[in-house]
Formats: sequence, structure tokens, C-alpha cells
Amino acid sequence: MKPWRIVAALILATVMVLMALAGHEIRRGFSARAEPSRVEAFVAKTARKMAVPSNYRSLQNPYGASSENIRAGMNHFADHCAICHGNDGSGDTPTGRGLYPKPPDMRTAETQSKSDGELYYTIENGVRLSGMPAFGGEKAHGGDADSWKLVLFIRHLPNLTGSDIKEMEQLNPKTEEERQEEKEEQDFLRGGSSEVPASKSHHH
Amino acid sequence: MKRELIFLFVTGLLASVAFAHGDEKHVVGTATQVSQESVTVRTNANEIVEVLIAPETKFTKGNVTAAAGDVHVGDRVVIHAAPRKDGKLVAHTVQIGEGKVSAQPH
Repeated sequence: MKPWRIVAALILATVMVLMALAGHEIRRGFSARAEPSRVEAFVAKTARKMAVPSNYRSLQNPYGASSENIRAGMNHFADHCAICHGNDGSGDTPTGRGLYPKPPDMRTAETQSKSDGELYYTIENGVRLSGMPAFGGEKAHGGDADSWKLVLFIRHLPNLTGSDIKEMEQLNPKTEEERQEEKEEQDFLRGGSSEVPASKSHHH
Repeated sequence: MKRELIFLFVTGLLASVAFAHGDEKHVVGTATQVSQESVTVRTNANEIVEVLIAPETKFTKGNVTAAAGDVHVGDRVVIHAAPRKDGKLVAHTVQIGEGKVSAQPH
């Protein structure tokens, strides 16, 4: 067989495979509730890893893991990140569950094995075609320092305590109505008045 | 025509990145039945609501992490749950109260 025919056959086969995959995706629908297929997850993770420039990958965190720096990262995380990632970094939140792809459980090796530079780059630049925005460039909000302290807090996630989480809950962005409802629920749990709305639906 | 088809395809791909709105329900009341699979709650409006327990359901009592076995009949509970496709509620978090309810509301 002539070489050009082999090349043509390979191109044709590739196009047919891509068309079959596209057809499968269209039949499956484009719901954000779905989980990415294994192939999609592998391609996305590989592309994401390759997208971090090598000079970032080797960056070292200029801030030490002092309790003060970790606490600063924790406060920032509770205010900006927890809505999707959860205070505990699990990603198990109403918003996180509704994203495609879902946020990773940052307590696991998948995230913890990344270098400080990789985590920093992701915070600063976000991840394309996902729910992760780029937080970099806001020098007025602490810029680099905030991102590096977030890296410290991400490293601390596997050791987070129940009281850390309670403290973070006070810093999570909430409406006045949500704060009031939370207060009523906590009073009820402590044995206070049972005059709490019996059940309430929340559309986030 | 080709350009329109490409546009439609790319738009479809980007649509998959969109948010799905959460639909969380807070169930507040007293546990009337407890099993490994579910907690049944008599709400403060005197309704009976069954909420399923999933492997990822988190339990807390005060500031401390708890377990499904820590929920007992008569305990005050606040459950945050989301409906499944079949309409049944599945608990994300179960907060267990530190005081029991002595009398059922009417």
C-alpha cells in the first residue's frame, strides 16, 4: 500500500472515531450534573498539567507555614473559595456538585502531590473550561501574598479540625436571611425555641 | 452553513461548563425513626419527612464530628438534603442537637 493511502486511512479512522465520540456526547446531553468520562478526565488532567509553565512548577512558597499565615489563607479560602470547594476542601457543596467538571477533593493525593508552584499557578490563572476563575492580578486584595497563603492552607486541609470548620462557617459569604436562618437552627439544636421553619428550600 | 454548524457545536461544548443550580432543603425537627439507611423527622410543622443517609453524609454534634449511630429517636436534628431524581431526599449534613424534645408539637 502506498504511504499516502496509509496516511489517508489513518486520518479517516481518526475522523470517524471523533465523530463517534461527538455523537455519543450529543446523545448523552450536556448536563453539568454528569461526571466526565474516563477519557475526558484523562485528557483534561493531562492538558491541565501541561498548561502549567515549567518556571511556575518549580516555584517555592516564599511564605512559611506559620499558624498566622495558614490562618490568613483559611480566612481567605472561607470567603472566596469555599462556595465551590467547601470549607473542608472536599468540593461537596451545592455549587460544587453542580459544576462540570466537579471540583477535586483537595485533601487527596491528586491535589496534595502537586508542587506549590502548580497550586499557585492554578489560583492565579484559573482553569479554562471549568468553574475555576483566575484570582491573580488583584494586587489590591493582597495579590501574590494571598495566593501563596492559600497554598499553605491547601496543604493544611488534610489536618483541618472541626473547630477550624466552625470558624470558617462564620466567614462564608451569606445573605442576612441565611445568617438568621442559621442562627435559628443553631438555637433549636441547643434546645431553644422550636419556632424554626420546619423545612426550607434553597435555590442557589 | 459550515460556519453555523461549527458555531452550534462549539456553543454546545461550552454549554457543558454551565452551572447547575443547587436545590437544597433544610429539614428541621425531631428524629422519630432512625435506621442505617434513613432518618425520619417530625418537622416543626408536624410533617413526617424521611431523609436517606448516603455514604458521604456528614454528621456533627456541636462542634464535633459524629456518626450515623449518634442519632437517636427524640434528638433534635437539622438536616441539609437534596432531592434525588425520584424525589427522595438525600442528606448532605445531619446536625444533631444537644437537647431532646420532651413533647411533640401539635
